[in-house]
Amino acid sequence: MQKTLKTSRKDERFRVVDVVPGHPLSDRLLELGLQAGECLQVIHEAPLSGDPIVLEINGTRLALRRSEADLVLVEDLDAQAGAKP
Amino acid sequence: MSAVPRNLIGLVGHPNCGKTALFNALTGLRQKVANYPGVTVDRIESDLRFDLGHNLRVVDLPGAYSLTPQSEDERVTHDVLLGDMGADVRPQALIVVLDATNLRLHLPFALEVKELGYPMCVALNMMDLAGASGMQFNFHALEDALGCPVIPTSATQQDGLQGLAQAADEVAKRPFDSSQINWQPSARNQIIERKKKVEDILRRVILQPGNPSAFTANLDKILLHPVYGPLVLVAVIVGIFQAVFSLGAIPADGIDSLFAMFSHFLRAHMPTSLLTDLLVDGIIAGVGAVLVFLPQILILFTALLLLEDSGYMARAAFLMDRLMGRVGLSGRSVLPLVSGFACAVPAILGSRSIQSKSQRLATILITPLMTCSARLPVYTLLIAAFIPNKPVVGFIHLQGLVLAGLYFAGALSALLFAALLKFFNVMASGGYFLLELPIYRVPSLRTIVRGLLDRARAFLLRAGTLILSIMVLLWAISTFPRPPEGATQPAIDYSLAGRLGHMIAPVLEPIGFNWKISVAMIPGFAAREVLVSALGTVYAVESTDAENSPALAEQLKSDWSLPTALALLAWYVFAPQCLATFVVMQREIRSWKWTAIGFSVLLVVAWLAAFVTFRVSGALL
Repeated sequence: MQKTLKTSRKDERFRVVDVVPGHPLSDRLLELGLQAGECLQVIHEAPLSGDPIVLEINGTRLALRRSEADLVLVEDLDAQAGAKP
Repeated sequence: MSAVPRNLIGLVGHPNCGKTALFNALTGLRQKVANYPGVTVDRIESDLRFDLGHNLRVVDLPGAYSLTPQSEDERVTHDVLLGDMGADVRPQALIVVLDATNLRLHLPFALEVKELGYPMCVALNMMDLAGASGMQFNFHALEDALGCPVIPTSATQQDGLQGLAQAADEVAKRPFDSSQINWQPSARNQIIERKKKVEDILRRVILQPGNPSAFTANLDKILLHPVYGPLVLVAVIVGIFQAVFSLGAIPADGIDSLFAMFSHFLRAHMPTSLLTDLLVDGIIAGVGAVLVFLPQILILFTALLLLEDSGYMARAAFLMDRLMGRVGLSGRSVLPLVSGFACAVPAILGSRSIQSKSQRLATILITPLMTCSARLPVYTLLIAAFIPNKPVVGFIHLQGLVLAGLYFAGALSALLFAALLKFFNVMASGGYFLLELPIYRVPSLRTIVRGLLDRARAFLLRAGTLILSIMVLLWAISTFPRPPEGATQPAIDYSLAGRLGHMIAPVLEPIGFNWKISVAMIPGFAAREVLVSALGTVYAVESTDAENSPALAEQLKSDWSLPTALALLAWYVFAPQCLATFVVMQREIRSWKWTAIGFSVLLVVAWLAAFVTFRVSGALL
């Protein structure tokens, strides 16, 4: 199932599907490695509000707010094991 | 001289890949380095220190993730490389610096730069960290893929520098007509295309992958923990203030008595003359008063350098982003604002790395409220004189607590000011936050020691030039004109300074400042810590008992009421002193309107804060 990183929780793992274009940070997220097929994990949530979050992707740690995480289309990595034809 | 220097090499690469550390190692310069993205925000040029038989200059450029700029510091790099800053600053060839521990992230930039056509070589930096984590590379494969020399380096270990200098010299000899550069912002598919190439290159280059961020992952489990994380942050901040106050006091007392002995010695062994007065009252009292605070300032700087060099600052930015977001800022603003504890001028420059324009403007406007190190002498002097040093809880004493309170008041009002700017819609919506968290590094002793030496030198230089000359001037206007025959008032009342002080006193009397404070405050606009020196001089000139003048703190204690001291502290939290700050502010935001607003709002608020403090504490105490 496709969704964005907006509602992701700590320790969840995803595969990137795409980054929504048009936002000032869209291309920057691509440049930082958030590209189709890459795997990432949410490794931290900020205290109290849980926003921003920290992603780990290919050994890079990126802190970003959930409003920007909403630009990142992902599919679930854990749930989808074996489910895909 | 030709317009285009044939021998300028540019250092480019991602933020925090070690460009400035390499630059310092290549040139012998001491530009500021730290472990967070966006430390270097302007271009800096210097000669290479290796002897290649001819002159070669290196220019350090701000880090950039790509050539499409997202912030002002990246724009500098973009403008220099594309010639928008003029042909004379455009380099002839480039050293592309890549972080060996994270090639996947850094290589796309190398490809993008290569597309520009610059002759280049690659410094594969941080090889010490990569090697320690077990990584192995095929350098030849990387040279083949990029079509340029690749030199493994470690700037902090000073490894590979000679080889890099020679390689840079070689590529700089290649002909390159930089006026032919034709650049377009990367399209989406180009970014994706580069990434595919990078994956292909990595398959051939990385012989043995490692896990350089294993230690970082473990440490972050504590430092970014939802409960322990904020606790550690608070403990770090409280610990710094406690150290500044209690550790700094020990050597400070020593320096203080040294100066006291020195002036007694001069008084005893020199004839009573104007020259003796100038030396003792003007120079020793004034310059000595501020030199006493060198140990404290150095402790504060050690703490800041450790925070910056370890990689913790970026974590603090993450932990505080939510709070900053409430007032329209972001965690990005934390990095320059914290460096504002040292000095507002580099903090204002540092805000160039903030991506959002409105966040940058707001950050610059509130930076003067961060308690810079020049306020420390003022705070410390007044606290030592007026606040009893009794224990509150455990190792925390009232004096340290009041100092922390003043820092807190500054930071809190900075947030309130930002909230007001947000409320009045100064900041357009669209604030965002995106920050790479670097891996933790053991702070380099070299960086810390150099940073401290530079700081101490700057402080002593300032005391020896700016403060010294202001003190001589102040001594002169507090001494001349001499009192007439048969004068009844103290001599200083007849001097120019006395008259000037009495003239502005009506504005400052309602907030509890006597005319001596008024006199001392005027030179404080040149540099805040001058207030302390100026008080030292004014009180020394006034003192009739020249043989045995007590320490400045004692004199203040007997001359001022407690509400006056508290009001002066409140004034100093807000007062827009230090003109350099506002000169830099104007230059960075290019708006006289906002600079004027920033200055006058702070002036009015400082007066009101002192007024309220004076009246309320006067009524209560």
